[in-house]
Amino acid sequence: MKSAWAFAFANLRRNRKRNLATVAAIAFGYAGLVLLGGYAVRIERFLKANAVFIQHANHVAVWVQGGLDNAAAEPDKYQFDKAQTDTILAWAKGDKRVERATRYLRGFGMAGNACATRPANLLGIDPQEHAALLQHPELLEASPELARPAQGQWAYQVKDAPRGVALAAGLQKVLQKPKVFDEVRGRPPAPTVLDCDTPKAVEQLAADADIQIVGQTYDGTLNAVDGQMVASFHAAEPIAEDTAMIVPLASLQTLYATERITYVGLLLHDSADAGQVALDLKAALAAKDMKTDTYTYADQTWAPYYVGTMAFLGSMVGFITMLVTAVLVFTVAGAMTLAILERLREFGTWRALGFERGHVVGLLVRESLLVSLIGLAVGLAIGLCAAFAINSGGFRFSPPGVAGSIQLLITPAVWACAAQAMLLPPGIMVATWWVVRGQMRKKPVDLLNAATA
Amino acid sequence: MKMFALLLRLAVRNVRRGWRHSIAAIGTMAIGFVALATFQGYLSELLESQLRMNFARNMLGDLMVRKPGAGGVDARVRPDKYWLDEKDQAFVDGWVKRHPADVKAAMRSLLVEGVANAGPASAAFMLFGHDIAQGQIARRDWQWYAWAGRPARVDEPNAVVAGLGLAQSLGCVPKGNLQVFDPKTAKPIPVERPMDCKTTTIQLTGSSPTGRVNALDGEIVGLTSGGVREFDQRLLWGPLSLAQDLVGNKGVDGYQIVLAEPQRAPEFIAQMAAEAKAAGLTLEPILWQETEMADLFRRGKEMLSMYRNLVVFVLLVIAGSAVLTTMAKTVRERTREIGTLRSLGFRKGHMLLMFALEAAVLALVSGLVGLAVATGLRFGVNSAGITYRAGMLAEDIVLEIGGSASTYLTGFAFLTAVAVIAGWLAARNVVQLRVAQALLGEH
Repeated sequence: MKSAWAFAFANLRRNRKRNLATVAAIAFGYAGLVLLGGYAVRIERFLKANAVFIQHANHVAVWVQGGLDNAAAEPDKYQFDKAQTDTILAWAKGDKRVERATRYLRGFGMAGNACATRPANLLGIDPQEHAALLQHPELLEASPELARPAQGQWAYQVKDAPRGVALAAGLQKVLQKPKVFDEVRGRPPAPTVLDCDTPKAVEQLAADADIQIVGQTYDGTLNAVDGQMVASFHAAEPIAEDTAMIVPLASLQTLYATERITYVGLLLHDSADAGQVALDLKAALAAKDMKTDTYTYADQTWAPYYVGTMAFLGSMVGFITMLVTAVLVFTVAGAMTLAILERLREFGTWRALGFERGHVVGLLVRESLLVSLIGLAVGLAIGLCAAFAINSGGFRFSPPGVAGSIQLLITPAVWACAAQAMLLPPGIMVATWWVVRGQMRKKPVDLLNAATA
Repeated sequence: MKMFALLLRLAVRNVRRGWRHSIAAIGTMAIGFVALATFQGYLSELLESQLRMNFARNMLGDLMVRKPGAGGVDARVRPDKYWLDEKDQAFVDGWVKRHPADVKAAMRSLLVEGVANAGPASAAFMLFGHDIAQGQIARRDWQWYAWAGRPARVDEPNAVVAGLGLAQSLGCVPKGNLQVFDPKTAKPIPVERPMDCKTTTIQLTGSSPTGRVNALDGEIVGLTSGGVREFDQRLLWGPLSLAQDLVGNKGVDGYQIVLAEPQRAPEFIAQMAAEAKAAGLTLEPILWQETEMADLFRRGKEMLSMYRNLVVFVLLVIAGSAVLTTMAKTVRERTREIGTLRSLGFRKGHMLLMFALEAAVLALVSGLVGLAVATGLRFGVNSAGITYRAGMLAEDIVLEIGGSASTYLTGFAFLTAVAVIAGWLAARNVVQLRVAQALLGEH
């Protein structure tokens, strides 16, 4: 059957309306899957960038063993000292898979505006190391808006504010500091003693961007450092909007009177190496008598929101894909059933002329495959056009767990489109084969006399 | 009506005669119905179960009473301005007393933020001070809410139950790996499980509206989960009196009122608002779903609706195409029959109606088949006890598919509408033929 494919293609043109309807069904179904897959890809990139760069999970993170659970309660015992930190940094520098290493110190304190204080969760990071994260191409590609503060500039961008701090937008409002450092530079500062219980306080508080941070050193002494609010930002988690604060690492170490750090985050050239790098790092540190826990951004414990959301989204997309595929298979099976019933006399004629059952079955399976391939191609075009239209529309939406809104973008990925496309043709071909072989069991004379033809 | 009945009989007869041709369309529509009903059932059950659990675990009332603006930024800066004072509380208590049969619980609550210390460890906390006895009722079927330890009792003025994240920061963790959840109910087994704490006594520091710092001791009697991870790291539940002593004020943030008939909440909201206004008080009775606290829930609901709408659109297009294919063939084959009926006096409109009815009958049959399959699938899935994680939530969710008459009727209505439109589209050209042409079978 050299010309079987050409024959099958010619047969498709014999009942254009029905085949067009079938192609349209497949096209719309697949276009829907392309859009859904493109949305899932976009969300995955966004959440991954959010987790790695904004929630500071990095690709790999290394803690003192048990530190993730206990460092807050026992910071002296469960945080790296300087020697240990240097060991980790030296390993990271020597490993070609690692792009950079970032030191973090986490802690708790009170943020004050000279009238009131509020609890604050403090993240200490070196401004230059923070800059490297915020300017990373992976973050800028996924969501450039994440890299920008809500107001002002990041500490590394404000050279004349050595103790520049950034407050979560909610904390900024609660402390009644509407202006950042850049907006009050050069103006007269607020009075040394504020009229906190009078309406004047609002104006006085807004006169500068000074923030006091109060905390306890690791040996239990009360301590305080001053900062200048250079930026406000939307916290990665909504509940942190009223408490999150980013402080220069040196300032936080001064506050706690320590040289320790809580964890080291590693950015890799290829995030796919995260699992192996985590294992290798842990083994290397163990060889130097350092007991550690290493986590990757794909660990539920370390990046619960990213992992949990992607698991849920993956299940949802998978479930919908299965549903749509099942419906499409039935649709094409139905169309093929009608075609077969109409052409029974034709098949009887072929059988009478000597064609085997397998030839006829093979011809119809080819036809169904061609219909599905044409439908997939049209569907891909529709899906890509729809994605382009949506992306150009600038629509914004507010997914759960994200402060503010993000742009609705559909980014179809080749692997996702291919995976979804690969589901349909086999299902359709099997359905066609199942329908036609039943009819081909009839004798040629019965086929020739078929009433449904 | 007579003509309609006649056409309906004809439609049913035609579907019966040509059932072989219609099997594929019936199959497609049935699968479409199963898909729509299952997906919608899953989404509605997910939202309802999460809402029920949220209400129970967080002691949310069917209606809340608070001051207008209590959800705004100003309330976070000066919460005391939005507290219900003793006069406001007397009004609400009086209202509750006048509705003994309608109100199951009226729980006062006060949120206090501060710092908790346990030795060298310190962490921020959010203390939800509340009426313990009323809170037990408001918890509905979540009365045992302790993962370790036990719930606070009415006669314990300093007992607090801490979120697992907060407790860990303060050196207190569940001891051992005892099973917490009952697999059948998906709720904690009501048994006291051991905790391992460096100290159960913690110092709570808060400040009054005038800036005075108050410090009190709390006693951790239990550990619980906040549901959402970030919340878990700051959660404390304790007696209202403890929260009031921390801020040095008898005010409360509001009331959570649990009703005997939750569906009457809007009625009671309107009633209470009018009575409060008449009494010269500024109070805002409101549904939780309308507050800023429900933002996460609303966003999740919108997101899931987006998925559902996409699925519905795709499935309806596919189902419509299947019906169109079947009906187009059917109509073409019966051109002579159409001509005969037209020559007997049936009008074009009657013919269109007949084919539309045939499509509707197909949809009905598909719907019944789909209903049987969807029901079986639902019972199968719900019996399997499958659990999964979902995003920000701390615990697993049980996979369940809901099934309500409205869900099935909606799915059926959608499919019928699509089928009728497809049938009409398939028939309209053939029906326009002249009688003579139709009798000859010409197109």
